[in-house]
Amino acid sequence: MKIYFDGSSWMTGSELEDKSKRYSTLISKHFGAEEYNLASGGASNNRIVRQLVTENDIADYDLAIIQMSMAMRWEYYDDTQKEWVQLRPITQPSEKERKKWLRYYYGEMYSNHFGNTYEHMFSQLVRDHCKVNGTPLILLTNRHADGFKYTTSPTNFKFDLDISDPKYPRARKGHPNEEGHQMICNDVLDLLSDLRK
Amino acid sequence: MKTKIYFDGDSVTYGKELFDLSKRYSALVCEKLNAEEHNIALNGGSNRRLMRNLIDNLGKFDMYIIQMAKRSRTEWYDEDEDKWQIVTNQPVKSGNYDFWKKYYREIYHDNYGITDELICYNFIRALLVDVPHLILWSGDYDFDLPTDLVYKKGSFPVRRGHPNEEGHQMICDDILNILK
Repeated sequence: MKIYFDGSSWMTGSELEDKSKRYSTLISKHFGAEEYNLASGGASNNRIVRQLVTENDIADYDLAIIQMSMAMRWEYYDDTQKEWVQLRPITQPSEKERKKWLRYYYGEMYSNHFGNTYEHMFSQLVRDHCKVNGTPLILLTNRHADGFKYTTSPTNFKFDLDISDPKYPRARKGHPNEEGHQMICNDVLDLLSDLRK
Repeated sequence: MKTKIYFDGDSVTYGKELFDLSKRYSALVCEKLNAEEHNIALNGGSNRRLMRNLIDNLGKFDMYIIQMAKRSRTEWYDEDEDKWQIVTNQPVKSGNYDFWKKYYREIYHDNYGITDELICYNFIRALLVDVPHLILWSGDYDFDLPTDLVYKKGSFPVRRGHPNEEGHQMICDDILNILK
């Protein structure tokens, strides 16, 4: 069994001393499955969708567990470095002009309406893309993880689980601690058990 | 009850440069099929706009005919005007001109556009998997996604770069051929 995981730092196991305690590893161990965890700290929903739709074949996996990230984040392709760069309000671009440009984007152009609409669009794509490829999906979000850095407004989109719910205990910098990861794992396993009924 | 057909796209589907919009291909197709035309195409429309519109209009129509737009375009939501603004690589009318000028000069890269285009293509196919639909593409750069119809430069007669009446009739005929 192969499980596809993607998301942000909450899925990489940030702040855990032992990464084998992150919920993706716990879930994979539960099923005796191979864990393919493509998550990355600071990941945007654009990145999650790009990796799912254009860089991987989800039909090769028996299960997908995807954690959507903050709507405010996005990405662009840096041709000089030949890599995708994740953008967020706290990004510190080295070049002064680009910093000004990014500040202008978040200050003058970005709105919760834009963020919510695109979050909905990308989340729906994740759901439907997995469905047409016959791969069961559990769709998580941590959209309320950090209300100081990231503004949010309520969404109509139905995620399977909001792992930024304060019921999951957190470490010092705000990521789930070991107990939090174990609780998320348990809740995902419950959802999977419902899915099979 | 009449079949309701949804059309979205950019200026090609809008019927730019036609003096009479009843000659655009969406109207011709609907006339031939005795269907109700719902055309929300917009000059300068982006693939992002297509995806957003599709979410809003899913389940409301019997058939969807969608023409993918130029990959470099995007959009943003203007809170002051309470509307989505189109953004093309000549962002004179997009608002925030300097921002978008810098975006196209220094941030946008064709790899981004190609990726976005592939995401849009998969988005349409996935959302409409159980619904009759066609995807068209019209443009002047290399394009290899398996859309149902592809119109590269020179595929149809034009007026100022857009299909003229004859061009729209050709697109209509191609669509009807597929739907046969």
